[in-house]
Amino acid sequence: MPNGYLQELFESLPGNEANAPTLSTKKIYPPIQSVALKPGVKPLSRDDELRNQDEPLAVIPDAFEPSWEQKARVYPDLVGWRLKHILGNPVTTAGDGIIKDPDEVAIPIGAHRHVFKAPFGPAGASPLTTQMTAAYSDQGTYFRLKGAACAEFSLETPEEGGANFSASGPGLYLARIANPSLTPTYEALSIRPFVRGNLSLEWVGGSGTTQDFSLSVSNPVEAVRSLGIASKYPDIMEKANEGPIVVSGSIPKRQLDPDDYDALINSAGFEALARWVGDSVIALGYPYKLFVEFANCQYVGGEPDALANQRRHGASFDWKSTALTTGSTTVTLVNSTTSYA
Amino acid sequence: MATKRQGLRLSLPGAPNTPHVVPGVPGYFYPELATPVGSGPAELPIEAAKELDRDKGTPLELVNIPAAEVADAEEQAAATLEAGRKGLIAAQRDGLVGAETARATDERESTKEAE
Repeated sequence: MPNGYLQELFESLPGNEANAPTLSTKKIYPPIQSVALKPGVKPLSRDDELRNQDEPLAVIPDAFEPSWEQKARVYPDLVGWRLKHILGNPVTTAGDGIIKDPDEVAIPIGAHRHVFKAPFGPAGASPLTTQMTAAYSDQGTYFRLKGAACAEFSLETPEEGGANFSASGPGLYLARIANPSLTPTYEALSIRPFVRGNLSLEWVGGSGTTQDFSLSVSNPVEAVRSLGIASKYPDIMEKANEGPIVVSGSIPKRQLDPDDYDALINSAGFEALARWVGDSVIALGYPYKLFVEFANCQYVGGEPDALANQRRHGASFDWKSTALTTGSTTVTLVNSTTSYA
Repeated sequence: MATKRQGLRLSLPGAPNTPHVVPGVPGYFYPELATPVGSGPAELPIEAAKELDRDKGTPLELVNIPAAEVADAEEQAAATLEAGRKGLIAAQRDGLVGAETARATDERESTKEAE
């Protein structure tokens, strides 16, 4: 049996080489498929110096640009964690048999509703960051990444293999550490991830039959060296000047349909909804649910398949969630997690 | 009348109140209602539970189960074991990939009766 784990906690402020942020109450051992903590080594090469030596010169440590990548299935607890990481804190309400989900179904006691509503992200200059501890237990090697921001999140629901997400972003400080002597714990396998059979879509009226649906969130962030501390690592994680948090994606269509094409050409906005209703039950027959509502979804790219000697012609479209006023995207997750604080 | 019992409770802060697996430890654990230990064929021996309680790296704590909750705790533990077995079978039927295989192995151990 392979041994290893990832432990993750939110930080009160981006952690760097020198500081020690307060860590969140909630900690998680994500049931990842993979995680990579990358040091981003940028050694100093001095081959450009005139030393009358016709060989590469020894490099020395200069700068590091840490980053991380993670892939996991869309488990109800874990996806909320990652959504908070990229979208900011949700508004959490405990189920009481009265509050409802976007389908107007009452949420029972034992379930909790977490709502992430645009405009996203925490106030201030910095995004939310986490501290990740990765244990290669069989190799006796342990790493800790501080100040990890989430810049990209993409969610796919393939035909088989379960819904999964990929997430990545920069970090501020990566160190090899001593064995933290932690024992991971995971939700039982009876708490299932969302799968293709759980997903249904409400899309533009008259739209062609859908082949697939993917969702991405981009959160422009950057790690910088502010000279606040003497470090080869960046010390500050900031929101970058590349625009707001954007929710977008693609939706290949099995059948080309004029309604989709007209919506593309006219930049027509339409309300849309992606809904995952899980197979596992939280309480009183109420299952885990994930809703993504778009107030003004628009096609921003795409084209029909090339006309050819084939019986079916489809099309592929890129979409983006935009706002006529405010509240472009609302993500509602109902699970068993009391709080992500 | 139910007798006083001890149980192991998940002490992972912020964990949802769902069954959790701790690799290498038989049984399932919740953050709210403790899993009974110390008696019965499917329960962890009390000495093993005390050892887990002492290990600060393991998110389990040994607590007294109030007499009024003993029956609920025993019922929950039995039901979770059965649900775990079914969940494991379903997961294996659906196919396991990568790290899931290791998790399934952990859970298989969790659903075995404690020695």
